[in-house]
Amino acid sequence: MTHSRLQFLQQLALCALLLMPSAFVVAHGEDDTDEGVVTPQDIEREEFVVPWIDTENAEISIFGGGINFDNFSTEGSYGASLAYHVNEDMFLELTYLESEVSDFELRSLGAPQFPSEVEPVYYTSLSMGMNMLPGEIFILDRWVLSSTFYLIGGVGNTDFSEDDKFTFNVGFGYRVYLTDWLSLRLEARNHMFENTIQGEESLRHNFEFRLGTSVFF
Amino acid sequence: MRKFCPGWLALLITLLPMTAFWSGSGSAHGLEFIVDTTFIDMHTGPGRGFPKFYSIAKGEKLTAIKQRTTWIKVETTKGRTGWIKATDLQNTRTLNGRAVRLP
Repeated sequence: MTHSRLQFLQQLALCALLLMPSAFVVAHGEDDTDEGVVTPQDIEREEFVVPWIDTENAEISIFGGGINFDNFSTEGSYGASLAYHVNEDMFLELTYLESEVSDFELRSLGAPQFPSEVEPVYYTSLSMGMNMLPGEIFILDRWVLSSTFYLIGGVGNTDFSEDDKFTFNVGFGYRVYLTDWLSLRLEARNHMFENTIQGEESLRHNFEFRLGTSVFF
Repeated sequence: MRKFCPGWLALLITLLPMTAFWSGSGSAHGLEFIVDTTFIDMHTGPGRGFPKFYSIAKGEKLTAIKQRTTWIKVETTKGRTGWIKATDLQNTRTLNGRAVRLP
């Protein structure tokens, strides 16, 4: 092979090497047409709906029961409450309760505590409840009712004998759903406030039991 | 001084269930959806702790009746009624094929 022929082949190989990338770019460029480019107009936007569904997070209750006033008497009580269920675990509840209290025993010993023997009691509170142990109860073979146990506690005011007492309350309850919107509630609470009786001030525990019915709306 | 009078309590106990019947009667109407995932679990009550008792299969139609917190009461065309998670409704489509999003 002559020198000029070898030189020609070298130049040819060099040209081939130089042209190869540009050929690749051209080939690649041919693929990179409009089909490959995603533009906003090409995106299919899916239509969706946001349904409006009736909510039932509020609950109104009425109840009756009995309350034992520490050092005084045990009396009937009744009231109503309004609750809002924040989520499946937690609810907030405003309660109004009426009862009466008698100082009959201390009065008979010559130490009346109230202006009159029987005084009305008005109680308001804001409490937070926590649902726990949800489940079902079975009545014979025919009925199955949803139920839940709950703990509840909060603060409020007890108004009796022309005096306001800041009151803590803690308790527990059991709720049975008769339907989705109607439930029965059995509840026990301890209402605690400081009170002075015959010169001795201490925390008084006033236990209350109640049975009520509630409606969700 | 107010007189202790439990009479109104008895009256309220009588009237309260009646108001509930009125509120319950309005819940029969709902929106219809078709399940667009393998299945959706149905619970007996509006909470994760209530037992699962049915799985709504893909393609089955359900009607949303009402919502309590993050749970929706539904009824299937097969007559099952229970509660599903509200987020599960996003795994359904409307009858005309639209996706469902929650507010």
